[in-house]
Amino acid sequence: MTMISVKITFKNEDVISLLIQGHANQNDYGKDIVCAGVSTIVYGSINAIDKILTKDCVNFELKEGYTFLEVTKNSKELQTMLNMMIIQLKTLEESYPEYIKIK
Amino acid sequence: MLLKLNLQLFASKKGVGSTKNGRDSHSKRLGAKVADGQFAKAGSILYRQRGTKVYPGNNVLRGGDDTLFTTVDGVVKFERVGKDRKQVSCYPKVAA
Repeated sequence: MTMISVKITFKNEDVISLLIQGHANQNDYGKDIVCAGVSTIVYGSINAIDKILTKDCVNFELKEGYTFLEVTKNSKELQTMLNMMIIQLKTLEESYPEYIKIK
Repeated sequence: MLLKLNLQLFASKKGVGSTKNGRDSHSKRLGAKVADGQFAKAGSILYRQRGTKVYPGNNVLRGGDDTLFTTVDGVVKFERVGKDRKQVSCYPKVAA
């Protein structure tokens, strides 16, 4: 996969899952700034959700070139945080459309 | 506890070439083999070098690989010659 793809699943306008996979390939390993941006947003958001909300409100899997996050206990606050994450990813997409795609 | 950030989680490891470095020759233990003022027997090596960092002085010859060795039994002396040149000599003396 030559770019990072972000697939968001909604249910009645609520985000129920996020699948982020692929490689930005913007630069060599260690110098890929688009990847660094996405990684920081993903890690930061998951840590924030974990810290601010109850621990079991999301399930997530995190591995090289792949992140899957799904809502297990929905709430208004969780939706706010997930939408914030999505807006951050969209901000990145605006600057680097050839390296990240949100669907 | 916070997840530890991996800034390159979505970076491709493809194309991460191997480095061309990482090789080194075995060290050749160059340098002085006998100290200044020490007694040396004829034929013994005084100084191993590449090129002439130190020049042959009295009773000292230079081998094919620029190694300096003494031609007489005697005391070794490292001397300065001119502004920035060094030489090693061997002054005959019967071993004590």
